[in-house]
Amino acid sequence: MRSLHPKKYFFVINCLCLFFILLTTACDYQRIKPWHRDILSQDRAQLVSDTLEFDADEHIYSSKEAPKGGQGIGGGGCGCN
Amino acid sequence: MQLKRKFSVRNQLTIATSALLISTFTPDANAALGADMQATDTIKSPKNSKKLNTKIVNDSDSFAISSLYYAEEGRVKVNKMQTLISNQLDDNNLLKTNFIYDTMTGSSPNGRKYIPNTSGLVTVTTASGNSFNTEGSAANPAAATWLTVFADQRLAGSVEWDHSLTSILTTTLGSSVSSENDYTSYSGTGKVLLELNQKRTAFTFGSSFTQDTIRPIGGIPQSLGVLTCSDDASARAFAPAWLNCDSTINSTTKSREKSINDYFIGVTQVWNQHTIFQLNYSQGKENGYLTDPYKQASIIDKEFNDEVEIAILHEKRPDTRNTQSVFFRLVNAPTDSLSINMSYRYFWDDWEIESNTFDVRFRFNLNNHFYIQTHARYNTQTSAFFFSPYIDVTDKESDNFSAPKFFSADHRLGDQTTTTGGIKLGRNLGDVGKVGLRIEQMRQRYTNNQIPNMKAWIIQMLLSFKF
Repeated sequence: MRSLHPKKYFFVINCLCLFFILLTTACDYQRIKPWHRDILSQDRAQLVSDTLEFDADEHIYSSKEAPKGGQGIGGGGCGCN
Repeated sequence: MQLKRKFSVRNQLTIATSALLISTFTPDANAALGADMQATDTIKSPKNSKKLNTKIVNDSDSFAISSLYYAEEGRVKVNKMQTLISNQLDDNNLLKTNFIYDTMTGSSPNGRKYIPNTSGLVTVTTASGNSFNTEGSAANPAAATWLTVFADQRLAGSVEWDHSLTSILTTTLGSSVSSENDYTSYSGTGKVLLELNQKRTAFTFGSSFTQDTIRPIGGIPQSLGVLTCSDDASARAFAPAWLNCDSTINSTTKSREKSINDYFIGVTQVWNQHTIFQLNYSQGKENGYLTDPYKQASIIDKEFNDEVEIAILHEKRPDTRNTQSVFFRLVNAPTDSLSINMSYRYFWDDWEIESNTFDVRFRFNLNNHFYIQTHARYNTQTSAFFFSPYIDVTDKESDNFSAPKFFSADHRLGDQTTTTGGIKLGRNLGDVGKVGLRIEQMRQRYTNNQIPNMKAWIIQMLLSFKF
């Protein structure tokens, strides 16, 4: 059996994720009130649950890969090797 | 009387509920969530709207500290200490102060062609300023010719001030500075957060400006200037006509600068009780000295010998770079014990680099205190238009073959795939704070480059306290 190119693997993964997203959420939009946000206010449901973990990852990957950013702005540059 | 009493109870319940919602420390990026940070619950009732506009804020200050150990096998090792102090000055003002101290040692690929079993006397220039001669050897990677040994320290700090102008409008001003032996960076940031639709929808607009100064040891090398040529006359006979091995280039410039302007717009939507979406678009404009002064490039003629460097040059990159990215994130907490945080980023720039990045975290609450979080990340990128692992001059000795306008053999600008997998164990300490330990492994695979693939370990200890 011929193996898929890595980029096609990635495309397939993207499609599956998109399908998962639509399946679990898009069909269930609710105009919820502020007092219904108990789950979303929990630490585990934050966009970034730990700032220092996020900062560390941003620094590692921006110094080891060509792309950077996307999640926000700010932060100092570095002459990373 | 009954009517008045009814409104009073409702008011108090609303405020109490809102206070409960704002029980956790939320980082900067969560500002877009709006409803969960500095929430202002507004019930649109004409009789009681004034009273209910009371601002509810995160009333606890916090102190967070992180210790990170990053180690690539045979290459770079980094120790990173970071602290983040968050002070709620009053109902409308939040101040965040951040300090970072990094120590970096080891060696990183310098762009020269990877030649197995390298041996012989090579000159190594460290990023921290020392040049020395060493015996290059594949058995001793730190002394291999394709690696540059370096040691450096980085000290950085930043301040960010969140200010709520109205119940739906929050501004953020920030500045940061970062200093290394040979690199200094200053930046300023401004953001506006607009929350609408009973805070279900939040828009963020932001801009930042960064000014960097690069002061490499020995001065700024001449771009595409000759670093050294082979001593072997037979090898030099294969050199292209434009290569002048006899010229000695002394650096006269000690430092160069570059500036970066970033623009950002994002929208966050609370979808239902379990789900939030985030969609961002970012644009960056870089100008100035974008070349890496420590990166080099080998000239190779396969007709002669593809394991002999005819000459070694300094790299040269364009003076401008325009980047763009689209970022999408979904946070979903379908059950009491499970939450999912997944994101996708598409990045592209005018250096012809394209990248797809997928990141997913599954968090399982084991009980009220402990949780396990798995992390998987996948990034793939295409190469910059001026990237090649070496300058191939095979059959190009004629005068018609000119020097490349731009050239870099920096592996980070080449085709590569990065995969990361890891696990984190965390414990919530209730009102006290939280602790966590994560261990991850990162692998980089280079598809158009002969340098060995890279494997790195990421170990991070996280502590956060409220006071």
